[in-house]
Amino acid sequence: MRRARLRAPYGRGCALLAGGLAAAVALTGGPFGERPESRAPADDAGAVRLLRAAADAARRVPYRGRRYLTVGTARAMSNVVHTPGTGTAYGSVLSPDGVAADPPSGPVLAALLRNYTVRCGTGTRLLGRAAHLVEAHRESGRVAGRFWLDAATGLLLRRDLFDVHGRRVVESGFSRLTIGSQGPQLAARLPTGVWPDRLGPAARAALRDRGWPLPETLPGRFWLFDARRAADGAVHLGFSDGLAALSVFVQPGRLAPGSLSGWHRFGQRLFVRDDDLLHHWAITSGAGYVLTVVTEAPASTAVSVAAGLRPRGDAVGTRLNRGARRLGSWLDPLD
Amino acid sequence: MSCLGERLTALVDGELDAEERERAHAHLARCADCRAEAEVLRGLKNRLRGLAAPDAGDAPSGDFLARLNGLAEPAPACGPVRAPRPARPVRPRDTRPRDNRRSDNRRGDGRPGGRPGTPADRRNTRRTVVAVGAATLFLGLGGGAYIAGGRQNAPQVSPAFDRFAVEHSLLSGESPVSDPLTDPSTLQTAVPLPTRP
Repeated sequence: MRRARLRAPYGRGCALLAGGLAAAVALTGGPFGERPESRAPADDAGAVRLLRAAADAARRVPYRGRRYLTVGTARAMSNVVHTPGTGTAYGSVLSPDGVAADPPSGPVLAALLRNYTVRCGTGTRLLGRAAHLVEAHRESGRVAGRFWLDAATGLLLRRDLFDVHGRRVVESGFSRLTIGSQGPQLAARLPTGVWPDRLGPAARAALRDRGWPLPETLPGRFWLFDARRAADGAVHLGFSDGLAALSVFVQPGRLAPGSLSGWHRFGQRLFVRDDDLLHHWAITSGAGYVLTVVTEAPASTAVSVAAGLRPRGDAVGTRLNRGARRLGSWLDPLD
Repeated sequence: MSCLGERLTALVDGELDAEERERAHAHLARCADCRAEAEVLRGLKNRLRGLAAPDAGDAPSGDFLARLNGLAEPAPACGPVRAPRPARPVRPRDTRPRDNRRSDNRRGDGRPGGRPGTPADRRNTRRTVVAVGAATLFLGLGGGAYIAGGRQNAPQVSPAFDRFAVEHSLLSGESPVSDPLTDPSTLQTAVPLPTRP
């Protein structure tokens, strides 16, 4: 078993460190003697165009191959087949087109351009194919993410994420790729109970009025890009800072004793999971809600987000109102 | 004041011994003032003694007295008996000149002042009682509602972490999502890979 480790801050806690690094870089001219004024002050239009083309290619281009995901020192692999109009089959699980944060599109791409500066890198080759390199840079100038995009089709071949110290924390992409629709199709389907209807802004606002903790943004410059509600009442919120995706599951109720086997306490009403090699989990509860956070981003991001989301209890007015209703129901002989 | 002082009262009450009584009588034979005061005291004592004893019907019943005693705080059944507290020194009377601005016993608005027992004083007392009662009721109901509303009737929840992992993987779009134990096309390393140089 691997205990969840707090790696270098990637999200909320990195702001001060990134600011300090930015100041240091500005004062010293950067670690490689780069003058601050030599860096591009704005997004590279060519890089933005390549990213938009990658989002389009992910829906349009048929392909098959094998994908991998590496988080830290753990790796997982899966066969994939993409059929335009149907979706992407990961093994036996079908992922519909247009909902994933990878490659970035729509609000995820907007978050990427809001939080980072994207620029074209040098041309390169990957999997025997010509590829464009696009880099996302922090304000400090350090690279936060790299995208390898197929020059012929626009497909995203590989993506790396880096923490503020420049260490690679996530790597995902193809280890084998064939363009085209030849070959057997995988018998994939959507898992039962997964992907319920979307929860629109009005529905979210209505739930928020009833006390549900449903934020639109999270510390670390994460922005909401997808929200759904399952049949059991759980709400799934999808956030992204443009590079890393983070899910928050909100359930009304109290955490059942014994439901956190394989977790350990990390703080007041905050637990982190030990037995998942690829994802970082944190769970918290309060004021009648249980919130589960899961992400590939470093554990510090999951922990800081969960700590910030923990409901702090009722307002006095809410509690008085609920108590008055209860007292009334106790006194009402017809109730 | 007589020449005998408190001994005169003791003489009237029959509390002097024989020798002092003889001495007191000898003084009374000589002193007309003391004799007259002794007569007054004896008369007063006789009048007090002559007051009729209360009728049996007017006397409080034994049950009533028992209930009165029951209202008092019961003494501990056992334990050390606390010594009586020493008498507190009596504050000297305030001899400062009193403020005579309200000597006519009127309020600043000219209305009669609240002397004990006056209708105005009774009205003030009623108002105070009503205000205290309302405040007690308000605080009691508010406190009760606050306590009663302290905890939501929330059901116990066991998060479906497996489903959450699948949904997150579909959302992030970068993770293999199927179970490697049931899906041979998916592989997860059970042992962490060696660290890259």
